Amino acid sequence: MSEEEKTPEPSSESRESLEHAAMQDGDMQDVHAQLMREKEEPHEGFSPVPIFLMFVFAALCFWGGVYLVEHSGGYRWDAYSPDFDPNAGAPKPVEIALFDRGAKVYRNQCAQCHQAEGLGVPGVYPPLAGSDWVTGHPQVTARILISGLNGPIVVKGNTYNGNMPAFGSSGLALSDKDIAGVITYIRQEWGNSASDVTEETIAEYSNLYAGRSTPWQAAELKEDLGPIPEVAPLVTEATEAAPAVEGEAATKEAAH
Amino acid sequence: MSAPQSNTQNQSPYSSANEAVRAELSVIDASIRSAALFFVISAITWLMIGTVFALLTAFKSHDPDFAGAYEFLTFGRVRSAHLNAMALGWGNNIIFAVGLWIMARLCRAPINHKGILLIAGVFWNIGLTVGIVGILMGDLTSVEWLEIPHYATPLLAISYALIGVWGVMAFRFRKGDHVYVSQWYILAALFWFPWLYVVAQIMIIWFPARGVVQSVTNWWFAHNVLGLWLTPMALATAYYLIPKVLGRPIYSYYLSVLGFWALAIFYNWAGVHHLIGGPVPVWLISAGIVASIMMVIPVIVVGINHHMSVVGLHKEVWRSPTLRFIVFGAISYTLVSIIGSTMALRTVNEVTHFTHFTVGHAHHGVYAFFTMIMFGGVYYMMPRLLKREWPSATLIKLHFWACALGITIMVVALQVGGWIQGLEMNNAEIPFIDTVQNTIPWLKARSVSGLFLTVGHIAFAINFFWMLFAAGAVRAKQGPTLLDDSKEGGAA
Amino acid sequence: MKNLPLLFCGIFFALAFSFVGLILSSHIQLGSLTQTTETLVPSDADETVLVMVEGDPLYPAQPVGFAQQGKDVYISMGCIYCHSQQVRRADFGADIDRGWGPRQTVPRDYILQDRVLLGTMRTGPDLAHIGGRPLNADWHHLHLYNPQITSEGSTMPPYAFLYETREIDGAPSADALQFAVDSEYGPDAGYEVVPTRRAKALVEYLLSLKINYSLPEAPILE
Repeated sequence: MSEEEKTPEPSSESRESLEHAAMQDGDMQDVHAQLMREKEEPHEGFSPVPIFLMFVFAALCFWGGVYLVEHSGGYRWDAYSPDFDPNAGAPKPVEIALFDRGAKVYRNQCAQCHQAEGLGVPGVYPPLAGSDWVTGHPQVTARILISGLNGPIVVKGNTYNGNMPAFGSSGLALSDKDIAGVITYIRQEWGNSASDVTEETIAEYSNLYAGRSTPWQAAELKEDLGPIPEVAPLVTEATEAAPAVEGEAATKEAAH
Repeated sequence: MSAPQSNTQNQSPYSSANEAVRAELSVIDASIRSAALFFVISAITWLMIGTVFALLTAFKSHDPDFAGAYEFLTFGRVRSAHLNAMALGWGNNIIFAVGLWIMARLCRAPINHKGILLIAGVFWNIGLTVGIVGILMGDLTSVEWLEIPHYATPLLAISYALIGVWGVMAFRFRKGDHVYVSQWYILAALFWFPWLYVVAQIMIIWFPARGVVQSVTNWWFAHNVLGLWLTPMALATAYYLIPKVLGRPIYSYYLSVLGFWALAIFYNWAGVHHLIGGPVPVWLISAGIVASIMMVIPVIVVGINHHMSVVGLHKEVWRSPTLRFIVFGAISYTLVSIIGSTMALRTVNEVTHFTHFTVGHAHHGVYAFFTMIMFGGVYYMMPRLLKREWPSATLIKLHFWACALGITIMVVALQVGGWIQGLEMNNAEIPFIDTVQNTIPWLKARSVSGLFLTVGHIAFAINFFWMLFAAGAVRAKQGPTLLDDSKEGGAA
Repeated sequence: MKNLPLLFCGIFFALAFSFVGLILSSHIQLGSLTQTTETLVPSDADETVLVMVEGDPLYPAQPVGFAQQGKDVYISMGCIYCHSQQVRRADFGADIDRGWGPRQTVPRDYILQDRVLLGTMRTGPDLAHIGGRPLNADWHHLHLYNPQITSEGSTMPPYAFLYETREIDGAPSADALQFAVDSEYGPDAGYEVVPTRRAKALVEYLLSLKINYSLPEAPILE
């Protein structure tokens, strides 16, 4: 790389740049080292576009057009589903069974503490499965849910001393429908079998306790209970065998 | 001496055998040297800073108590600092360096007034520093890809304007008749970026649009930073260096044209795919999905063009540090784009949206494609600017392997973990906390991959600064630094 | 392609195409959305025209002061990078099933937000309707102070720096955080943890996020 470089003069521009370059003599050697091995500046060949690509392009354009027409909801500002049907009319409210509604509420709000199997956490959160607090008079559970519970309570032989928050309107504000649903659910899941609790019943209880801001204590829960609401009892093997035993057992075990 | 010239265009006026052209190139390189060096040094510095933020973010993602007591390092802020340090610090600076150098060379115009470029670059770095400190102090905007606080963005806009205008002027005063594909991409990107940035700033930050129009603007902007700024610059670099190093023409001019215009038309509608399922009229979303699928066209076109230009010369590709990185990047481009188009399909999106899958995809594009290509660009450019060779082939190999392995592990971990996360999230029976817990092993793998990348970056930085400062040691070296022990001269 | 003006035109129109088609057209379609009553009824004058119901409250509700300050804290902490605020429709994902909202969110839900925080990550749950879920201020304060208290195994970072640990002066403050007895996260004996103004504002903001109203284009169906 030690050859002296020639100075061809194709144009005056070149000459100026070369003269300028020649000023930095010592650098010339090194410039050439890298530049000498460089290939030519890039340029394009002229191979044709493969035909298959044009077909693919056309097919994609066709698909795109169809997709846009089918799934654009008529370009309306209020179409939010790709299957928007402007002729569908107003959507009807969906009626979910109390039990299913309750299952969803339980999973989203209660399972964190009482666990998915309703077994609670020993020493911390009481179980709901097999608990007669749950399967007894619905007003008991409604009280707990609407206004909360604290202080010691004995459930299935163990004492729990925690803090159940209020889910009624003065607390975390679950709707009456949701409270009715979740009470129905816990009364009928995990081997529990007890009656449904309707939204109307809960609405009544909510009115009753609307002004109450203190949580219940276990001792008070079964005092001054109203009549058991009239609901068609749940027909399962368990209730067929002993429909009356539960009510008595609930009143007997006031401080159990 | 050099490897045999390609035999199709021996008499090309662009052949480096031509003394005048070589001299011209040397003058151009000399004229842009200080500006390009400044931008490369800035870029590498921000790369290291961004890597530190990245490691912090990665560790915090599976270990929330890691540095958890410090408000200025809280996850939301440090993650945003990482993104902006990498995108604007590493990304923009390296684009200014490599992109402008390629533009200058192709326009065959030595730059004038390089003082302006340097001043603009200094202001860019100052603005970015102020912005990143602002993010850590809590002034971030919480608008994705636009987190820099409002007090720093005007400085960035002005710096950019100065640099961008310079690029356009270089094109305006170019010599020669033919305009090469890289020049289209660079010119277009220089024009698109400020439009995107200014519109986004105005419609989201300064005079916020009503409701979700902000979100539509946000994702039009953010996706186009990837598609109309980073992508064209990376493609321009690949289009310049693949034929340059190999001494072969690009396969097809017609494919280049098709690829360029298809990218220009389709890419900028695709951004709405970030809002699939969101509170936006469905026609906008469907348009975004269609555009995302149509992107398959320019991606295949570019893939064919690059592949056919490289076919038969794989040994050369492997030996050359430049091409090893660039071809890795080019292959990643095809892969990440196909995955991206697939992610836009509603059934796939239902699973991947809101998960780490998207994060993996973003890094696949910005790192495996853009960053690896830019590494290749630096490996080619520096010997021409500094008139020295890279001191250590070992460090280059370490850089390559650490980064290639690192990014592969990261993308696989985040996308597998993200897919599982999405499936679980769509199953309401699975408690949410479980979906979080199940991502943790994958996030730990991501942290490991981050360590790999850190090693690669350190190797790169050491090699670079050694080359920059230890002049005496490397100047004596003859021949390019290649990645095998062959004594042949050849591509670098 | 060597003609600069022509090339420039093409580049310009390529981006103008999406700028007009996406940005300007969504601005036209959605930019003039206003509050509305939950349902619309045919007007008296012309049965084919639907009008708002007189006297019914307007939705979405105007955001309230202190909650807005909380939104600034939300933005300053970057909560959006783990939490989204949008509920997907019932047949796309399990958002409604998970109780993240009673219905899909639509553009009108966001028209009064000065900065829309839709988010794109769900490292944590969606928050569009977090105020409508039965989680009260106490729960939020404990959760923010250290997420492990309420959600063990969570990867959410602790925001203890939004709280002040101080000596109990006579009686404990009303807003001191209530830790469980013997909780490993509670303060030392004789100390209490109180929320700073920022923490209170943030919790107010979270409690204000509710999609508990219908809209004519998006009624609550369940």
